[in-house]
Amino acid sequence: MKRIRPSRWSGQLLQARRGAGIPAARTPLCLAVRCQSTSSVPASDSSTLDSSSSASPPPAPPLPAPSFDRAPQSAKLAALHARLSLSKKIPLQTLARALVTPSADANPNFNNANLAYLGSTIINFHVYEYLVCKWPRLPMAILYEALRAYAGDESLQQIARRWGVEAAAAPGEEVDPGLLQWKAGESNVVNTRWGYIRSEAAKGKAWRRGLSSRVVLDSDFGDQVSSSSSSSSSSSASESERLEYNTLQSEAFGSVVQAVIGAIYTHCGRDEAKAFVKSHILSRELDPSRLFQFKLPTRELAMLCAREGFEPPVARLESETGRLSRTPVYVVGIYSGKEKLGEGTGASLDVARRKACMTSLKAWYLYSPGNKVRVPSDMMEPGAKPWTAPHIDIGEII
Amino acid sequence: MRRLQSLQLAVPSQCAAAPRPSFAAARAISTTSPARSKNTDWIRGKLWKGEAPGPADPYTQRMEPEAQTNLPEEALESSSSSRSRRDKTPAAVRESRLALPGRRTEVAAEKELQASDPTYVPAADAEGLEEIGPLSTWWEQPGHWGEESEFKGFGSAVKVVEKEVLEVYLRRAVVEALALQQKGVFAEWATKKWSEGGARGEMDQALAAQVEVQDGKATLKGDASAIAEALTSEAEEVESTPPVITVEEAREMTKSWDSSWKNVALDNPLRFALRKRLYQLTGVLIPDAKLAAANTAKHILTLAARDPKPLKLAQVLEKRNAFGDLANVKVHERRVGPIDKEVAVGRWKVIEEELKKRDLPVTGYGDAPRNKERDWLTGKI
Amino acid sequence: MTVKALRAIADGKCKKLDLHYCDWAGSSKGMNGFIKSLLPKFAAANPQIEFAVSPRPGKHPVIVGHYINGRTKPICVRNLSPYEILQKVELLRDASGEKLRRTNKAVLSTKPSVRGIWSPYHGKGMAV
Repeated sequence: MKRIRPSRWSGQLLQARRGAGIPAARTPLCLAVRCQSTSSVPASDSSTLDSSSSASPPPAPPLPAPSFDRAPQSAKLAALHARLSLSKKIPLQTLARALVTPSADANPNFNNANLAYLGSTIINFHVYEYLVCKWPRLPMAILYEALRAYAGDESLQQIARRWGVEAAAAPGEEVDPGLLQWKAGESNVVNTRWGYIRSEAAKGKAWRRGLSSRVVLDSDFGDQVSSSSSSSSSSSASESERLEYNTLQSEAFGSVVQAVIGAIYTHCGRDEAKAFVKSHILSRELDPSRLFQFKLPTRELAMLCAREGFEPPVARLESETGRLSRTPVYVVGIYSGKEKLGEGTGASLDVARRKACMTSLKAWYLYSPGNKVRVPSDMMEPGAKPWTAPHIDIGEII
Repeated sequence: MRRLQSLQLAVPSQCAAAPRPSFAAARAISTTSPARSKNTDWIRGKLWKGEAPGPADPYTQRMEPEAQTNLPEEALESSSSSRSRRDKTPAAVRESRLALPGRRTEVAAEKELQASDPTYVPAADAEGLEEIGPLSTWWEQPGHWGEESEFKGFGSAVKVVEKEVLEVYLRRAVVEALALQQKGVFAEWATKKWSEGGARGEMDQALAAQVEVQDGKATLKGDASAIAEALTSEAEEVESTPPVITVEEAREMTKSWDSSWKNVALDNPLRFALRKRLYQLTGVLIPDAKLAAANTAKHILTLAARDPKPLKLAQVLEKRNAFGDLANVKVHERRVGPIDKEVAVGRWKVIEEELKKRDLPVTGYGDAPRNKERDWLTGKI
Repeated sequence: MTVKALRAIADGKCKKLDLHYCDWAGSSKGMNGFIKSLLPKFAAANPQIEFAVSPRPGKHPVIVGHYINGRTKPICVRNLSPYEILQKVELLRDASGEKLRRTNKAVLSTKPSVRGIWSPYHGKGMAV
């Protein structure tokens, strides 16, 4: 198996699906000129400076974020470095850069956009392969939600806060480089969401395609990528403002985790990054049975049995109590032939039957080959055992 | 800057036309009335056994009660105004070389002028008039309070703290005093200001002389007359500070001397001369109370030298390089105040901007008076 | 979101220690000695904690621990000897930052019981 090189992916990602839709607004990957000093003087300014070289240069405007020169002096940064047990190969300057979000410093040479994108691909890759191998029958919608639960911005924000990352009140040059530099500004730069703006987005929110198109067109979490203008034109209540603030905040904190993993990948390599993802992200507990919500469980179960060639499911009352009382309880079991698929209890016969159906469906969907499941990236280790293909289900029922 | 505030207060009172009540008249409080003092004459006579010295009432320098006159009001007024026109400026102020504000001058009224000079035309504007600022800014104006009016102390402005350097200066002072004594002009020059000795050569000349001490009696071997000459020269020198000696230099010098010179016995004039000279050269003034106990030059040196200030903890840590290779430790030299904390999280620039936007002082109270309530409580208002 | 953090950060929850001292006051004598003699070793042994040493003239010496949950714990160490202060610093380092509370249960767990909740409708039933 070939080594994965996410640094080479971007080209493929950009070009493979050109016909599918309009590329989303994203951070320009241009190389902005920043000459010698760390100040972000635009290129036009530098040309004027050359002409009047004899005159004293005007005082440079303050940097939008702390200069990386100051990174070795920051005790906060050193402590964070040690707290994450990062390798000595990762310099403090890189860690400082991981803490600068594009909202603070728009210059891609000095913010964490590129590292965060690299990190997000690594995180998503490892979480996806883990989810798919561990629960091979998860429906796509649940898989998206499970991925979000592991690698979504809110979860990554929790991780960053557990690391002890603190945000600066306002980003600037004089701020301690060990603080997260972000601000909920007007420039809403979508940096780590890569996808396509759908051509039918103009038709409104109700107009939604099926799951297959979500896989192709939407972001990693199956979310529709919207142009920035449409997102701001929502209801102008304080509630939505607060929601937007929270989103931006979790995005900023999440980008720190992603950027740190990106930095580990660039400085220490694939194995270190995988170990880090495993210990900090995949080690978190997720109960996927809570992610399900069924609309027609009985019909779905019947379809499942038909598709798999089981006998049609039959609901049988197993026990009951207090049928004439105020609080009756029925225990219903679902049987396919002689095999019991699941059972559920409820206050009425119908509820109990539905619950039993849901239990049996979950039992199907949440099949897992075990905790010691091997994932494809395990094969990259030297001297790995030969690969045995895992069982992957054919797909959803309806 | 203190600029003779009393002068400024004194001058407008001259300009004010209204005569002020005299100081004695303002102090009308007296415990003994003049009538009663007549009654106490007999006991004063008994106490002093004859003519009693001093005024009868020693607490108030009471003026003689004004003679009761029957003159009309106008006559009284004219006589009092003539007295107020007399120049009451203190003699010291009158003779000073300070540029004082002009005094009040009176010119003839318009009508009188027109009567005497038919060609007189009243001015229509202030063209050609000299511009002088208000009295409150008098001393700020150029030429009124320049460099020459600044206070210059007798003692050196730069204080010497190192013990070795002090020793060098003390030796110089001893040599100079001895030289004056040998020349026999010490009594005359003890109370005068010695030449400051800005040139390095003078100092080297003084330090080159040998001091031999036998039972406290010191004899100078060297060019005593030249040293005394340099000290007593009346030539007005250019402002110069005593030559600066580095600690290493001073250490070398003190090592080269025999330490016996410090056993010079001091009598009172010599003691004061040394103290004065040391103050002039180094800025170190030995308190009177301690000076009396100093019997030798060694004592003087002990009194003048101070132990160096102990290092601050932050300086000690820096010197030891205690946290040299530890990146997670930050040692602050100064207290981390609220502003420092806000700066560290980046909020301070926002606060500053908002305060400036509202025309509020960034730090402190600005023009607002401080704590009026405290003045109420202490009865100031 | 049903994700729960299972794994605490291995290195504990104290992220910053502020050490305040006074150069002049006698109550800071032990603290100054601690900073001079014991702190370098302690800081080297705990690189995950940020140490900020700063004077606070005219006040008693104080150590403040800052924790990941956003809480702080200050301890006044006036008149303590360097080794007593070391104990206090270790206490702050090992603290979780939570409010102190009495634990009268042997185990605190967010998990439901391993054996499940007893149900009357299963098993052999109970003879009444």
